[in-house]
Amino acid sequence: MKREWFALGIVALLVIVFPASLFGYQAWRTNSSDARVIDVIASSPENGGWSPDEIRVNVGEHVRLRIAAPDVVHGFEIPALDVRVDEILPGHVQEVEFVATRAGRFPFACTRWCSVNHWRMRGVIWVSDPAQPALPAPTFAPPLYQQLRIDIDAMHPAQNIPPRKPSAARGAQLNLRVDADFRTQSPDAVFAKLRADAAYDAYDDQQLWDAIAFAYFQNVGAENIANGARRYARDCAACHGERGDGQGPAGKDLPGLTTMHPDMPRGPANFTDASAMLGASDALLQGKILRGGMGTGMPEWGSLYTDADLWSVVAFLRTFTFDDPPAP
Amino acid sequence: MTKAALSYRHTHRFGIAASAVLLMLAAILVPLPAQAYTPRAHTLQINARAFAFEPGSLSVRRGDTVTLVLEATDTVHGLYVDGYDVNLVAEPGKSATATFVADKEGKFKFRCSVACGALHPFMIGELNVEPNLPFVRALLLTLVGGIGALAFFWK
Repeated sequence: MKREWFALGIVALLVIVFPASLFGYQAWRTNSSDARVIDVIASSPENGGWSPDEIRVNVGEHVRLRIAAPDVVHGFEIPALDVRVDEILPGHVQEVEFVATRAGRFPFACTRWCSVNHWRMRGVIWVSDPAQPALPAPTFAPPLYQQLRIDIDAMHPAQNIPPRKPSAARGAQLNLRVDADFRTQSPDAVFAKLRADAAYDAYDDQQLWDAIAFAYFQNVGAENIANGARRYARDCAACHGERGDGQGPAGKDLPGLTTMHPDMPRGPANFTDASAMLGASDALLQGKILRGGMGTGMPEWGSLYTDADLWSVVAFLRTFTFDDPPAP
Repeated sequence: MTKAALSYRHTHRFGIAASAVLLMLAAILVPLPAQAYTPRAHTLQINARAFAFEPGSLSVRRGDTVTLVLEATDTVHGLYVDGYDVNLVAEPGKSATATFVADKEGKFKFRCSVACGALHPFMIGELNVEPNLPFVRALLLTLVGGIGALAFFWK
């Protein structure tokens, strides 16, 4: 009789106490904090993408996102609110807490390469202010390439190609001052201006290029290049390649390649191509990143990147044509 | 059957069993002649996609220095080698590299270490470190054991 009660006790433990404590613990965790819990499922775009892909919260509200990935590794980022989770592994629930401090409509996106359609995996978070129901009007200035009326779909080959790859280290030793606005002028245009200037006649072409490389890197700063490098590795290298040669594994079979204009080089841009890179101003490169498209299916980064991020990626792209960037 | 015949048969069987066991021990323990070989360094590029490694089978010789470069083409993949302390994680645009000395011979499976989809558990390749002495020994052991058993139970 005693043993029977003992057995019954074990059964009760398994059937009632164990599940009750599990669910009770979850309920206690949810209710004991003032955070609003939102469950988010991250699946590859072909399996439905973010679910939900629209999140609505209030300003000042304490929000806890519980993110699960049932298929492959994903990442999560709301760039505007500085919320990010680098790795959501299948089988683990990742939690992230934040308090939205400003109202608006902000995109969020996956940050890990989860499928060929990875870049389509985006969603929107609406942050509304109960005291002020209307969203603030977006402050919008047209990007620099539009202000300058640059046609970012045309080729802009450089007229002058350096004999060797320009090196900032060699340029540093020249002690040559180069005053130029690199955002609006291509390195090629800067070179042409210096070459035409009699004050630089003492220097040969290679020396002028080295000086331009040095001046460019001095101008953008090591920190920007490092930030650009991180973003390039995360968001660009899959198609454009780790070495910037346009040979990334994900860029070989893009949907738009067959319909690309025959005059344009096919596939992801090759950043080691001196003619294309030196003929392009920073504003042009920024416009391309910001808008995307190009007939290849390149995503637009304007909605996910801040202006500073875009410029820092451009700064990093220059390291494929200019040697010896400054170390951070 | 006479007693003498029985006893003869008994010792006969004992002899067979003893020599078979001795031969099997020898198959396990006898050092095989070592060939003169200067280890080389290999750089092996492995391409990972759903749900296969390309190439799926690698072959090196014992003592070789192996550098594995894992490149993923569709999503995040990993690679770990059973028996070696190697674990790589790569994703498109971020390849991973590991270098190790293949000092254990035999055939080792390598598998994907990051859940990459429905068939992830079947994403397996193999690393063959030659000479595959454990295999040769196991083959000898089985042969000697088999022949010994046959002789032992004959008639």
